[in-house]
Amino acid sequence: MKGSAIIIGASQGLGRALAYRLAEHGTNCILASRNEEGLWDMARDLTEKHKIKVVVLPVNLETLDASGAAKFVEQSCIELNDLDKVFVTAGYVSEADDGPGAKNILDKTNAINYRGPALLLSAFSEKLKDQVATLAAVSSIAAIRPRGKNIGYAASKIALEYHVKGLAHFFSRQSLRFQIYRVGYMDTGMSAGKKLAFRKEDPSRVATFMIKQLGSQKKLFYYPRYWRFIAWILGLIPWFIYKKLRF
Amino acid sequence: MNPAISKTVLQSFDKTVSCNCYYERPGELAELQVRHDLPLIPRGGGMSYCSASALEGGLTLDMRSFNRILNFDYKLGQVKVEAGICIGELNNFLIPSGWQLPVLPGYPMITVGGCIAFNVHGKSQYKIGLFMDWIEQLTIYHPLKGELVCSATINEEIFNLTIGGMGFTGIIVNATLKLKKIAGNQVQIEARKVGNIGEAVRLMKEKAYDYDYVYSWNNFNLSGRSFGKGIVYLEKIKNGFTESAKPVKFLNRLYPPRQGPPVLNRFTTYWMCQVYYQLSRLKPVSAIQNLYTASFPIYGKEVYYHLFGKKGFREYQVIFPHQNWEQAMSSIRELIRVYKMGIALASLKFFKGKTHHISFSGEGVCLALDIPNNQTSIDFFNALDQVTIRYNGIINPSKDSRAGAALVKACYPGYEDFKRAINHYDPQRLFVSELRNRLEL
Repeated sequence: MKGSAIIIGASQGLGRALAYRLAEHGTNCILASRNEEGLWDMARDLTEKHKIKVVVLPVNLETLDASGAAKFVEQSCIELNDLDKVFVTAGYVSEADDGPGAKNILDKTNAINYRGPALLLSAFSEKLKDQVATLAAVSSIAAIRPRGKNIGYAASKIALEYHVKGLAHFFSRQSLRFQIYRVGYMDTGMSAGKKLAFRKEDPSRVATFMIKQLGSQKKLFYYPRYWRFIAWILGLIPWFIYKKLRF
Repeated sequence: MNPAISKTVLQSFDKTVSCNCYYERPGELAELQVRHDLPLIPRGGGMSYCSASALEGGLTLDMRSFNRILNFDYKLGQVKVEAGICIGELNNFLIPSGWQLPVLPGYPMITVGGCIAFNVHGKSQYKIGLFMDWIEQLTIYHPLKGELVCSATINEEIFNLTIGGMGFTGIIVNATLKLKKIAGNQVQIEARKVGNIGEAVRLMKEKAYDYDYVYSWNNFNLSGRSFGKGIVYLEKIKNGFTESAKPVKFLNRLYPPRQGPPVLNRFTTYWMCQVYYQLSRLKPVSAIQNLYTASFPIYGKEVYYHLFGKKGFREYQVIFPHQNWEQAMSSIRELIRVYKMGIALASLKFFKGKTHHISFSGEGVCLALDIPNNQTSIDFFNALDQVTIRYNGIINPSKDSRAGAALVKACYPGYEDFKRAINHYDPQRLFVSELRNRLEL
């Protein structure tokens, strides 16, 4: 695997696992996240283990605006001029995002899950439109069908999905590939110690799956794959039954 | 993304202690959501036998996300790592460069932080000492004191207190470790059969300094002259690096622990040991193994722990001075007969050196015994305590989820000093585990 990758949300969970999997393939990486110090530790580790070029670029999705996104993209392409893979894995969900309580954390939830990623993906697609590149956004199974819990999170993820699909339509004559990953429960700090209805997946397995799909023409992926079936079932349940479900 | 604090049940590795506690896995230090109303305790691989990383109603901090290599000085033979890195992964990284962590406990998923907090030993303690002998520098974090760098020359007192400090001084963030140069990436293993316990100790004494690692497996379920019949493993790192010996992707096969009914009891332990011995007779006396896996004798044999089922097991590890060994052994043998105990595992190693606080060390022969957990096992261990005290033995509090303050006080002259120092350093007692309460520290 040649070329270079940028991972937005690289300091933890899936983003971190992606960086390590890409490094195993010898791919140079830009690590982007809010926490610069943690990224430097990671960069040292990746360089020691895999002898690749690693660049650290801090970015705060909560405060990012259009000009900030443009500058960030410019800087990324200067640091690694063969950049051809963009992964947006950053996400934020709060315990307070429950029913009408979602209003209290709506700005932050929207900024980190939708506005920031959308600004960056738009800017990257403009910059990379003349080359073969893959832009992947990590969504969630929460976006399958709305429910009373994690309202803000699910809404911002579905907004991101629409944004990516819109970009895919706009750039359909170019060689850009846009991918959306609806990922199930993952074994991260968010889910540590929690008992969940389904098995928690190791982020490195999800990362391996995403890397395998880099050449794929498909736009929407589920991981684990059985979530596609669950999504189909959930879509079939009539409202008068669905409204009674609590999950 | 902020980590969630959830409620969960954590079990000690031997499954004899369970705690309902809060649980958090921070990804960054800045994320630590320290709740000052809850006592804290960091957790690494979760392999401690003695509930060292959980407290009923306390907050356990899972530090496994802190698993990066921060610097590797190839020339000097030093590596700076975050404390949540597993020793197996670190070994995978170091061996191709001709270096190795000198002190390696038996399972690759144990973290460096756990090794420091319990000042662990490896298979050749008598030659290369304890984990503390290979630590250059530590960075620890205490929510009320902030980050602190310490070493043998900087903040010496805290450095000494953190090593073997069972996590009571704070969170070990990173550590600079000294490494041992290795001549190759394969191990020549000789498995010599011995007819009884006396023969085992004699052979181990004779060969101790000719090999890199010397330890034994003994069958304590036999009576008469065959008591302790078994295998002495003599291991030496072979010169030269070969392409065929490659790093192994270690998987944690000990988790989740099997919760089914126990398979091992007095009768099945007898047959399990017989089968193990007979199977090992079929193998060649001398074999060459990949150093990556040979460093961790438990890896690949995890089924052994699953056989204890939901009731779990108990381990007793003790060092007896050489001069008291035979008398102590004969008392233990008598107790096994009286209590009709099925011994699932008996193993010997040699130890040399002094104790540090209440870290397991001393001079003599180290015996480890595993037995299925039941009421008799507690009575048996209580009786063993008397033998330990009578023959100046030193027990390993990190392997025994039953050992109380009185026994530890009797074995470790440094107990009171350690207790005073820990309470002086952290008078608010922010870092507390089930172990700390049990040992009355």
